[in-house]
Amino acid sequence: MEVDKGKGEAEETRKVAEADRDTVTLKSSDGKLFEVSKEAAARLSTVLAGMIAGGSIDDNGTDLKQIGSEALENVVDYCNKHANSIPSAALISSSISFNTAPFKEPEEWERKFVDRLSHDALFDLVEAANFLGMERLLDVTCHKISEMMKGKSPDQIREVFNIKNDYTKEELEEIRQELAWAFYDD
Amino acid sequence: MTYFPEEVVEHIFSFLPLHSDRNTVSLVCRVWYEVERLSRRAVFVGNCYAVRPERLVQRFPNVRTLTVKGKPHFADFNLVPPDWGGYAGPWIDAAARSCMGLEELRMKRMVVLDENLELLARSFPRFKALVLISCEGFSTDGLAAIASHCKLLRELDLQENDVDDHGPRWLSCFPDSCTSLVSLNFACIKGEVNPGALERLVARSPNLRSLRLNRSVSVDTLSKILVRTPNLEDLGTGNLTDESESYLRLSSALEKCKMLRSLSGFWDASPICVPFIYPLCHHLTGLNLSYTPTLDYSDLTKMISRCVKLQRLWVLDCISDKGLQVVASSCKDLQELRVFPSDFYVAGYSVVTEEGLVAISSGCPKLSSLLYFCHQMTNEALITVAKNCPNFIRFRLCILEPKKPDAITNQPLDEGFGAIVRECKGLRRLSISGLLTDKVFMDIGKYGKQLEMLSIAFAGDSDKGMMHVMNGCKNLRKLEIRDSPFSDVALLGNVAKYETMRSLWMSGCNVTLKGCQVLATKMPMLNVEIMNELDESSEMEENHGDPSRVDKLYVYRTTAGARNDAPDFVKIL
Repeated sequence: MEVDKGKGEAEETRKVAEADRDTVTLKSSDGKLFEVSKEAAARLSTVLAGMIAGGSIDDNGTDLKQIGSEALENVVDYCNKHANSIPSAALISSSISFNTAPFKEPEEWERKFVDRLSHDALFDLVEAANFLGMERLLDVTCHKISEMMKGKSPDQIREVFNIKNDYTKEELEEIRQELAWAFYDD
Repeated sequence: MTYFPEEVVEHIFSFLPLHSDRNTVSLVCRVWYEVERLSRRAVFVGNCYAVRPERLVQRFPNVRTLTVKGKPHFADFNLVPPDWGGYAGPWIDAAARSCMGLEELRMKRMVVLDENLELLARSFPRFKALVLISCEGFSTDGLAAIASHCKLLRELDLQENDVDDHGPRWLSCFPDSCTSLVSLNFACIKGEVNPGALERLVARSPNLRSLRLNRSVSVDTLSKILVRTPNLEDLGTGNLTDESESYLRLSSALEKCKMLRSLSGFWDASPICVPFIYPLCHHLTGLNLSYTPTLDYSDLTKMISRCVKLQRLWVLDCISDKGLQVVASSCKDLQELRVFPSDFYVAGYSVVTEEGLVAISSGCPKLSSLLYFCHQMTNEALITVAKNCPNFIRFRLCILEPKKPDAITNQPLDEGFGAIVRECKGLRRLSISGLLTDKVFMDIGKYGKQLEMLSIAFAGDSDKGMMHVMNGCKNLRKLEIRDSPFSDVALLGNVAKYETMRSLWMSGCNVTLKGCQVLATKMPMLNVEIMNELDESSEMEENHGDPSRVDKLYVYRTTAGARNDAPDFVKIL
């Protein structure tokens, strides 16, 4: 699926509107338009599914004011790649092996998809996935972010995620001690 | 970036299963602390007196899996007096008040009363798993309550508990609607169970993967059960004492269990049963024959030599050195070996020595975990073992006779254990025995960088020994010492170390009340527990012993202050 960007929007959308609409057009916070298969959007995003079913899709571009163009481009890209990939075992709910968590490890293409993103792009994408109710994309991005935390120290994590330490020294010591003394693993 | 919505943070944390990672993220900032504590599903408490149950449920109200450990490890060797403590009651009470969502409870070395199990059974509507290891204080009545009320129970795992038997009723208490069992282990229960109730329960548990029976279950019943459990992966048999016709039926039932990978039980097994196990052997990865004194070297080795995929083997020392040679040449994937002492030791009769251990080490290069009870050892053997198997993570060697020197040279075993700590760089757990001087502790302190737990018995000749350990061993978490000549000097030599450790146990050493008082004063965050039992033996020794000498000392860091359930013979300084 092609991605329509920026300029000449009006004309582009009119053309699309004339065609048989099996796609929907999404508009980012900075006004860029993106087209995505209606079927994939409805399948992968509960929010878009609701909008499509409720008829609140705007043919001239449905406003998604909370999502920037880079993140929306990634969302659309993900939907397209997903539509193209072989029906995924990841989406078939596991009724037999109830021992395993519902989450299935990212597939190869999903891993590649999130690995190529910068930290900022990944963080924006996770928020977009959350906003759009894209369960699988949220899983895959959150999983990727969790990998960035494993085995790290609090300082390293604060640095990667640009988070301010808002504890006092005493508080931090108290929490650290309780964790180490009371709730530490074998 | 930066501040994700809280639900996203929670989602990210859901991919952090390790306590260590979850602990870390809670230290990042206040919001993450809150998100983490409210979303923590699994909580591990390594010492039940290091934190109060009320604090746990306040901090982690949504806990689903709770693990609590009670008595010190030396309780396994009867060194912790009865009624010392480690009560499950306060934990179950607190959870019942505040953590309705509890689904799994795992407890080790705790005192669990029937009334605790009653409350547990009625308090948590989604309760799924109860695992009790080396616990005591309850009877089959408590289990009956669990069976009756935990409608979603998936796992009931009773390992090495001391259970009062009030008859076979408990097993019949699982209601007909209970079809969710995945794992059932009642091997430690001494009394009879009703075969019919057992068969019906198994028949309505299609997900059963692990089933460990007790010695009351007959071959006949076992055969009937097994045709109902095609997915069974782990089986603990009942007694195998029957005549041969019944084994024919067992054999054909076993053949249907294509997933079976692990076998235990073999209570009172008669040698007649052994050939009927053969067809299973080449699939097995785990085999526990430690309840089987009735099988001798030849029976055991005929079976084990067929177990070419075996990774874990527990066996009694009646297997003998010759049998261990068979293990070494057959089981190339062996990772864990435990050899336990059999009760019927007759001097000179098939036991295991350094020869068997050397054979294992040269035949099984993947060996990483060892528990080995033997009657003699040599330095040369230990040096060879260390070279052959540098991947040991757990190395526990118990030479049954205290202070026994090298069987050939009559020298201390310092050099041999020194080689183990030097060569096995990833060693986390070590138990040493035999004649040992301070020299071995110098090596342990120097090379035991990953060592987390060290057990010492009848070893060392001065305070220097213990000091080497206290000043080296950067990762040491648990130190337990019995009957060794360490005094206040060693106890007080590096007191800051105790804040980095979970606990210290010393019994039969030379520490005094005064030394313990100094420790308690210097380190107010430690609970310093001393135990002086006035049993017959100590009365007899009264005239010889130093009255200020402390019999048993247990030191641990705590956020909870002194415990209030200590019995009279325990004094907390």
